[in-house]
Amino acid sequence: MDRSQTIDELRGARNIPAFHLTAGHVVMAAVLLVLGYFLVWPVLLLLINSFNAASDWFVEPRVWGVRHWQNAFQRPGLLKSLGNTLLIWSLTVSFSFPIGVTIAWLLARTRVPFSHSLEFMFWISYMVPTLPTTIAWISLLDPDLGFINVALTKLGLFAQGPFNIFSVPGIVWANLMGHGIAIKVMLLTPAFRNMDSTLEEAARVGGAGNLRTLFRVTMPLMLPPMALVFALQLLRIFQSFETEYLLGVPFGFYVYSTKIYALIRDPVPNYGEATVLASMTLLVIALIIPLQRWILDRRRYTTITGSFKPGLIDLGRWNYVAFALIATLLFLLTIGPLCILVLGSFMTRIGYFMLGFTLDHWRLVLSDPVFTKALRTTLLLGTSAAVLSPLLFSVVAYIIVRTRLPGRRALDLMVWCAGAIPGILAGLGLLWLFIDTPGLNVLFGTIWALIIVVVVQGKTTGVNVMKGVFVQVGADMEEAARVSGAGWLRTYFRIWLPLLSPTLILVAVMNFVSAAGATGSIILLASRDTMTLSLMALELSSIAVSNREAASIISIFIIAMTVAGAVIVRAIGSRVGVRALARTSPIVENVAPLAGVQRP
Amino acid sequence: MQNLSRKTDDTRRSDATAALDAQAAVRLRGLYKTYTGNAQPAVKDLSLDVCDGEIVTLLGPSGCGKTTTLRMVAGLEVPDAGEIYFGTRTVALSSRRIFIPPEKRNVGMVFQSYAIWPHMTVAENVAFPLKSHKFPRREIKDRVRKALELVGMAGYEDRPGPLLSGGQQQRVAFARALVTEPQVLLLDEPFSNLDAKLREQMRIEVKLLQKRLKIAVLFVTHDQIEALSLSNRIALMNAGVVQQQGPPRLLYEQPANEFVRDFVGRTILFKGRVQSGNPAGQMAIALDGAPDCVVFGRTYNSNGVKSGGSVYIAIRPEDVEILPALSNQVPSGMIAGTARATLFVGERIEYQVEVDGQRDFVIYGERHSPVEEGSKVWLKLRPDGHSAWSSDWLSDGAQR
Repeated sequence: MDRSQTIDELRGARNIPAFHLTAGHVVMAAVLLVLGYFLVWPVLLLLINSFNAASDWFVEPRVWGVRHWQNAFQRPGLLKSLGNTLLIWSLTVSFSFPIGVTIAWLLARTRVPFSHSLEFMFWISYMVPTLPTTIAWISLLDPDLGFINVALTKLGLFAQGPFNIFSVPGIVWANLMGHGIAIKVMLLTPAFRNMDSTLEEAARVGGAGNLRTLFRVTMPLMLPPMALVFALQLLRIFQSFETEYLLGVPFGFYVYSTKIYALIRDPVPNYGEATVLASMTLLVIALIIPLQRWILDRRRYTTITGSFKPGLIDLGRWNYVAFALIATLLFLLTIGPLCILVLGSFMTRIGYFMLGFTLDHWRLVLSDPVFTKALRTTLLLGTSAAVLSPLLFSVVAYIIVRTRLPGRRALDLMVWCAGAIPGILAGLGLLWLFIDTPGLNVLFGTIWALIIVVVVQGKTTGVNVMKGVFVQVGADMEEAARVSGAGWLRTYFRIWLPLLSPTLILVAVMNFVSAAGATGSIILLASRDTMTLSLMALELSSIAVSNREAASIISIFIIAMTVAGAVIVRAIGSRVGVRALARTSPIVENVAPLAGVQRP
Repeated sequence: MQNLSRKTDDTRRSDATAALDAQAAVRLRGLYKTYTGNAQPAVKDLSLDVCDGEIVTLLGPSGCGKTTTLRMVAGLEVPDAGEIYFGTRTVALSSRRIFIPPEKRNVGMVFQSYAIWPHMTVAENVAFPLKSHKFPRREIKDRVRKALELVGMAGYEDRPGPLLSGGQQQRVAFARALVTEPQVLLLDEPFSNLDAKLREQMRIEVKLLQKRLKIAVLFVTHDQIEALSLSNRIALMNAGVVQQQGPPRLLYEQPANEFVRDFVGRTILFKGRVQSGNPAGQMAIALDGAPDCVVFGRTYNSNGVKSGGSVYIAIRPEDVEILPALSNQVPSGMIAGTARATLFVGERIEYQVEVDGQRDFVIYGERHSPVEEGSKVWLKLRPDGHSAWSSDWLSDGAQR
């Protein structure tokens, strides 16, 4: 403001835009490189290595050829495993989708009592990893020893147990009882709740009855969110691992992920064909991503508003029937399996009631150094994911939403596409990355490899949820700080961090839970020394070991951790308000769009 | 090398000119801004001065570039071309890539949403700029108290941001903007989120506050009443271009083009024919359908209003009086019509009036002497001080 200041200021000021731009570009380049290296490059490595025809990859130099591709097509069961993947998915979806839609509609649009609590229970059910529930259902439906089968034969109703969990219907059942139904309810209920009810009311005023309104107005309005959820589910085809591993392998039924695992963990590992199978899966995914993106980009036609209090439909007496049915289902999804696990953990031998109950399994497990180590590893992984992932991905989200740096669309797309890569493929890719890269191969077999996996695992959820918050909080808060004289750092620490903290904690807990429950993504990278609780439970309940009592005990620990996480999230959710709770669904399945959050 | 030394020369020259006309607190010269992905520039060749103690308003419909201009002054947008000076200080000079970031400009700004940080109390919100600018701690406390007193929020220091009403948030936003005693205050539609009563009250308070502080205020609004009542000068913008700038009265009485005429205030467009003109630009215009009704007006732009030609004469509603017709003989200076519909809007009555040879008009009438719906009326026009136009701009929109 002084006249004498002018020249100095001009000199100093000249550097400012140049500096700003460079700093931004450097950060952008660094983020693109780091994420590209850990997200994209491993996937490319899979494709590249599938053409490495050397017979022993660890000793011989690379030889290019299609030998492994030829072998893969000749090996019986390899292509079939891809087909099996689709079979299980389509069977699961054809049951879970109608059920999920119905329940979501009942919870969101009718006067079913306690609908918010019921919704929250579905949410808990989704938080619990599928591994413990699958173990519980094995205890119930094992053909010889399952509690239900034992009970039915004891009662003389059947000569032999009628149910067999080790079958295709068994796998579908376990999927439905795992996340199959819960996730659809969780995603659709908030979307249905947000529908503008005046559209329905207009139909009622226009002379349409309940049913006519449902079919002529409500259903067409519900179609867009349903299409969205369906699109998101498309890529879950390839997510499953543990259920199929525990239930399919015993009767020789393989999906692509268990096949890859079997090929690599064979006494004579067949890395070549495993990588070819992975590459084929990638090609299928590459076909699905554009389809998914296409459906998701049409969401501008959805009529989701948040401003109307929905007029709810009164089903009269049926309110209570619906409540009873949903509550029963929830019991089967959550408390039921937990009870079975607790019961099983005290049985001398699961399924042999006459042998009585014992504390021996608890004593054995708790004094087992392998267990203590696994518990520590799990907590370490969970904590790393909880701390590092939100920080890293809030920066990425900030870049995408709040800056105009070149390359941010590429970043956005990269994060989205990487989210489509199933855990086992990402794990296999990282395996090659660690082995191939001179500096990184020391990480192989260490906890650091697993930490990298679980931190980047949270990318799509982390980025999309944080994007939503940046959009919602708006630029004003930041701009007001800048105008008030605060530089970048001060703005970040004094404005953004406090404003984001509830969401950051939310994301942290979600990452903790998903890291603690990780199986497919880390199983190829873990070693004896870096066993986690989930991997331990998986191994204990596999046919090779079949120590289901110990597996039950570990499952109880896993459930305890996740429920504690869910309760924390719930507490934060109620503090930051209803909208944040609605946002917790996208946290789980990368669906910021459903909570009304738009990409910039 | 040669290039470099020439640049230095340029610097000296522009510094010299900057020092010469430094009386304006804010000077904008030839600002351009185009957002990526848009073909049309958001702001095009905008030049504007704001002097100390002056409220200058950027007025215009949404999307006209007024907020973009304000944000360029704040440093929140980088101009593609042009210069911004605060007094003698250069804050943006695109030809030499000079751009001072917002935190170094020391302006006060009130956002449309107020942007009260929800995780801070009132006092913390107001103290934030002081802490950013590293004021000594004792002074901070003192200044926060004074700023809150200034806006009438003393005693609310410990109230958390989210527990304030809209009006209180706005006061806090003003306190935060003024607490460092900036030379320039930027207001981005600060009243648009308030209800009508509170808005009127706040308008008066802002005017008083500004008179007391004697700072330069750049004010953005789409509300013409706000603009007319608060500003010393108005720059009316449309499609990124300033259409006219000057005191409110000038824009109201001597609009430079059809956009200004139709945006500021209401106009009633009568069709007529130029009878004669004098060298001073005054024209006598006979209205179509009432050759005896002659009014005087002038044109404020060079759009070719010719003697004997057909013209539009723009008359402000308050210059038209509606009277019940007393006979079939229309007195001179009046035009006859029929009141088709009457709308009682409280302070006045609005009549939809059908006039032979003209389109339908909405005429304001007094509350105390109503005219019967469907009856014949006479419209008495103020004889002079109107503006004449060769076109009605909007083919059907003269009444809008």
